[in-house]
Amino acid sequence: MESFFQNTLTDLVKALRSTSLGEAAFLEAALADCKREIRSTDPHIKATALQKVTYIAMLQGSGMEWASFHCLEVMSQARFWHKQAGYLALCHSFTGHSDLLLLATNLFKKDLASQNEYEAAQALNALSRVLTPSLARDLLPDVCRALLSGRLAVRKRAVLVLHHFFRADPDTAPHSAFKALVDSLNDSETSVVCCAVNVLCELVCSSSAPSAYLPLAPPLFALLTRSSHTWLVIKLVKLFAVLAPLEPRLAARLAAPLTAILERTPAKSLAYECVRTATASLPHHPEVMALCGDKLREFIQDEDANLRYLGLLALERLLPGQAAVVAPHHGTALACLSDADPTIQAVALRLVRALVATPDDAALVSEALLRLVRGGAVEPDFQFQLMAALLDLNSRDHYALVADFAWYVSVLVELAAVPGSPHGGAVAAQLEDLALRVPDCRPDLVHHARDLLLAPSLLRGGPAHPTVSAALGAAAWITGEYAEHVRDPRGVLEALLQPNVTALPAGVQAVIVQAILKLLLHARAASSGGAASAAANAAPTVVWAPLPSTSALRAIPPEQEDAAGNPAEGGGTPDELSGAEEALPTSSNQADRAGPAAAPQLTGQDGSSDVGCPDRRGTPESSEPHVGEAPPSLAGSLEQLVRAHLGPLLESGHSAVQERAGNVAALLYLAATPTARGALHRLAAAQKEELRPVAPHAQAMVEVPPGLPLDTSLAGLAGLRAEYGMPGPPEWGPEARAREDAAAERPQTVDEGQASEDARAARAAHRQRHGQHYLANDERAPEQDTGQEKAAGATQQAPAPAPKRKPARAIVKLDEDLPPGVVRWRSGEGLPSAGSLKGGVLDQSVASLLAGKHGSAGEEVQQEKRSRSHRSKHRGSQRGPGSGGTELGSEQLGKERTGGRRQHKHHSRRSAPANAQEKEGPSLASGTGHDLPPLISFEHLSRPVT
Amino acid sequence: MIKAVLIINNVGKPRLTKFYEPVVPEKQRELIRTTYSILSKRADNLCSFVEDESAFGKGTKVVYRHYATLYFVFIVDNTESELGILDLIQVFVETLDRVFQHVCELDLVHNFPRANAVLDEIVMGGQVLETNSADVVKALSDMQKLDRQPSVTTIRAPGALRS
Repeated sequence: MESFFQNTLTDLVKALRSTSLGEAAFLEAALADCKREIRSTDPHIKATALQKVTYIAMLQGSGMEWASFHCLEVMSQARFWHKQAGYLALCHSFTGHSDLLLLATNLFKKDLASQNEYEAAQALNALSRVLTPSLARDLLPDVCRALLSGRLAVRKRAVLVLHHFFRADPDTAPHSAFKALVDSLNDSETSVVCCAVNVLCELVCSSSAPSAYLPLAPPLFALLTRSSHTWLVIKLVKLFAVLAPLEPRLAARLAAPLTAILERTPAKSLAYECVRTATASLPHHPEVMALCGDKLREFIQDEDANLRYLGLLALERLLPGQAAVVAPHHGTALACLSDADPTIQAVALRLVRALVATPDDAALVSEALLRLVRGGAVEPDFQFQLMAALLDLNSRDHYALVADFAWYVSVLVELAAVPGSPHGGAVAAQLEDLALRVPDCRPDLVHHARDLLLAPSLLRGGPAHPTVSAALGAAAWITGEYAEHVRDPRGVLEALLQPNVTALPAGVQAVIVQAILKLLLHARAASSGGAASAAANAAPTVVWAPLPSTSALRAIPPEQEDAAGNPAEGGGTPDELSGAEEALPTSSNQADRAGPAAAPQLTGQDGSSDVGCPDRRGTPESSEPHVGEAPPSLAGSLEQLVRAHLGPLLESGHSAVQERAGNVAALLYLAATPTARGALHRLAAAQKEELRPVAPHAQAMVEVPPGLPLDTSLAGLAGLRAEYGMPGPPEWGPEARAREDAAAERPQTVDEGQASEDARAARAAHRQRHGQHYLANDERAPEQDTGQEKAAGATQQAPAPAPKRKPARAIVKLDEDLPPGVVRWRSGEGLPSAGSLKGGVLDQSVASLLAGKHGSAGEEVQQEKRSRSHRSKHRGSQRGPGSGGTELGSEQLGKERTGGRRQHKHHSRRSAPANAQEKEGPSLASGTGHDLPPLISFEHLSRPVT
Repeated sequence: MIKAVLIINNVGKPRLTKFYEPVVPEKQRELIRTTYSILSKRADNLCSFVEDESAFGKGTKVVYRHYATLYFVFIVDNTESELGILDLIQVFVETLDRVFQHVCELDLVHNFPRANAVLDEIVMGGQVLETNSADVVKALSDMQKLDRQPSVTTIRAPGALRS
C-alpha cells in the first residue's frame, strides 16, 4: 500500500519537467525524499528509490557512494528489474575503491551461476566496471566456468570481462585466464570471437613487450583470411599493426590479405585500418605502398571531413620514415591549413611541420603560414599555433633552414606585433639569438628594432599585446648593443624615453635604460671621431662617425686578439685599460691601421679624444664645461635630450631601473666634464666588446695550460676519505692504474688465495668453453660481473682506499647498437616499478604460456626464468624478437639462457682496464665451477619485486 | 578502449552518461562541460573527431555525432578505430530507434534505465560487446519478458532524432 503513494522514476521526470522551483532545488528535494524511501524494507520501494537516486546523480553529476550498501541490498533481490536497478546503481556509485564490495562476492558468485542468462549478464557487466583485485582473485574460477556456458549472452560477456581480470590482478589471472581467452578464438559464435579479439587487441596494444604475443599470429592470421565480420577484421588488422613490424615473415605474409581487403572492401573504416597497418609493417613493399598512397590520396581529397582528417593523420604517422609517400601531398596538406575545421587544421599543421626538410620547403611553408597569420581568417588560437610553428620551424638546428635572414628578421618583428600573441618571449629570444649568431643581419635587426620601439600601440602593451614587452626589451637591447648600426639615434632615443616606458615591466625598463647608456656612450665616442671624419671628408650620409678602433684603444694588436681566440679574456679589466692608456702615445702605427678617422684622437696626451675641437688640444686639463663652447655636436644634443627626459626613470620604484638611470645621470655629468672624457672613451670601448655565443662543449676546446696536473690522482684525499669513512673514488689516472696492477700481482693471503684460485680456474674453464665471446686482450672481465662474485672470489684486494668501479657503461652502447625494431632491454627492467610490473608479469606469463608450458604452480617459477632468458636472448644475440617463430621449446630457451649471461659479461668487460690481461693472464689457467654465481645474481637482479 | 559514453543535449544537459573508468564526480562534471563547450562550437559539416590534449589527455579522442537535439559522444583511446566507433554510434542510435520507435530526446529523458540497458548491450566495460542491432533488440525484449518492468513511456515529439 505504501508503494502506491511512492513516485516512480517516470513521475519524478514528469514533475521535474513541470516544476516551478528550478531544477536544482527540485532535485535536492527529490533526493531528500529518496533518502527517506530507500531505508524502507519493501524491496519495491527501495529499488524505485535507488533508481531515482541514480537518475538524479546522473543529472547532477554528483556522487552516490553513500548509497553503496543500498545498491548491494537491491542487487540481491529476486526480481529481475530490482536486480537490474541495483547493478546499474552500483556501476554509477563505484569510484575506484569500495570495501563494501567484499560483501558482494557471494552475490556475484550466485548470479554468475544463475540459470537466467540475463542475471549472469548483469553480474558480468557490473564486474567489468567494479572489479577490484580481491574480487578478481575470488571470482576468476566462476568467470572461467561462465566461459564454458552454453548461452551466448553469458559467454561473450565472460570473454570481455577477462580483460578486466588481467588489469585488476595480473599475478594470478594470466595463466588460467589467458588460455581460456585463446580458446575462445575458436568459438562457433562470431560475436564471442569478436570479443576475444577485442580483448587481445587491447592487451597487445597496451603491452610493454608485444612480442610475447607473436606465437598467436598463426591463429589470428587464419581468422583474418577467413572472417568477413567488419568489426572483427578491423580489430585483427589493428592487432597486426603492432605485431607485424616485430616479425618480418609475418609482415610479408600479410601483404596478400591486406591488398585483397584494400581492393575489395567497401567499408572505409576497414580500408583505413588496412592502410595504417600496411604502411607500418610493409614499408619496403613498393606495390603495397603505392596502393596505400592511392588510398590516402582518395581520403585526403574526399568531400567527407572525417576521411580528410584520417587521411592527414595517416600521412603524419608515415613521417619521417616514408617521406617519399607523403611528399606528393604537400600541397594538399598546405591547403588543409585553411580548412574550416579546427581538428583538420591542427593535424595539417602537425603534418606540414613534419614535412619540412630543406630550406626550400621551409621558405614555402613559412610563406604559407605567414599568409594565414596575416590573413586573420583563422581563429586566434590557431593563429598562435601557426606562429609557434613558424618560430619553431625556422629556428630548428640553429636556423639551418633559414635562407634569407633579412626576411626572417622582418617576419619576427611582424610576429611580435600580432595582437594578443603569447609568443613575445619566443620572438625576443630569437631576435637576441640572431643578433649574436648572425652578424650580417645586425643592421636589419637594428633597423627593425627601431620600428618596434617607435610603435606607440606596442609600448602601451595591455591585453592587446600581453607579451610584447619581452620583444621590446630585446629590441632595446639590440639597439644599444649594436648602436653603430643605428641610423636615426635621436629618433630611437626619443622612443626609448617615451613616458609610456615606465609602464613596462621593470626588467624591460632596466634594459631600456641600459640601451640609452650605450647609445650615449657610442654617440660621445663617435661624435669626436665624427668631427674628425667630417674634416677628413667622410661620407656625409653617415650619422654616427666611425668609432675608434677598440683594439687601438686597448693597444692590443688585432692579431694578438685573434690568436687569443677569446676577446673577453683581455676585455675591459682595469689593468688592461690603464695599460692601454700608457701605450696610447706610442701606438700610432696601430692607430694608422685602425683608419684615418681614429688617428687624430690618439695624439691627445691623456688619451682623451677631445678632437672635436682641435684648437683645444694643448689644454686638455681645462676645467671649463665643454658643452656650449663647442659647436653643438650630435652627442651633446642627445645628452641634452636624455637629461631632459630621464627624470621619471630616476624616480622609478624599481631598484634596477633607478640604479641604471643613476648611471646614465652620472655619465651625463662626466660628459659635461672635459677632463673625464677619457674615461667615457674607455667605457665605450669596454661596452664594445662583442658578445658571442659559446658552444656547450667549448670547454673541451680550451688547451690545458702547461703544468696543470689534470692526470694526477687526488691521492692526498685518501687519508681524508678514510677519516670520514667515505667510499673510494672511481679510479682515474696513471697512478691508480699502476696501483691496481700492483695489487693484482701481490701474493694473496692463504684463504683469499685459495678462493681466488677457484674463481680464476672457473673463469679459465669458462673461457675455454666460450672463448669466441671473449675479447682478445682481456681476461679480467668476469670479475666485474657481479658484486656476488667479488664477494666469493675477492681476487684483488687493492690497498685502502679500495677502488670501486663504476657500473659498466658498455650496456648503453651495445643497446644503442641494436638494429631498429629489436626489443630493447631497458636499464629499469631489472627492478620494475609498480606500473610496469603488471604488464611485465602478464607478458611473461603469456610468453611462457604460449611457449606451450602452461601448467602447475611448481612449473611457473621455471617458466618465469625461461621467459626472462627469452628476453635476454633478444639483447644477447640481437635477433629480431619472435624470429624463432612459434615453436620455441624449452630446450632452445635453455640454450639461450647461457647466451644471455655471456652477453652480460661482455657488457661489463668493457669497463675493465685494457692492460689487465698481461698482468693476470697466466694465473687463469685451471679449475672449474665458475658458472653458477653470476647466473644466480643475474636472475636475482632481474627478478621483479612483488 | 572506450573511456566514456555521453549523450548531451543541445543546451549541455546530460541525458545519459557512462564512464568505463573510475572518474570522480567533479571530474565527470568537468568533462561533460568541456565536451559540450567544444562540441557546441562545431558546425555540423565539420569532421566527427576532436583531439584536445589539455581536456582529454594524450592519445584520447572524442568521436561524436550530432543528431537533431542530441550529441552522442564516445571518448576513446587510440586502440579504437575512429571510423569503427562512428559506425558504432550509428548502431547505437539505430537500436534506440528500434527500441523506442522513432527515438527522440524525450524518450531518453523518460526511459533512462532502458536507454542504459541498450548501451549495456552494445558496450561493456569499455569494450564493444555487440555490433548487431537486431541481436540487441532481441535481448532487450527477452529481458522485458523476464519481469514486468515499468512500461516504456513513449512520447512523440515533432523533433525526432532522424533528421
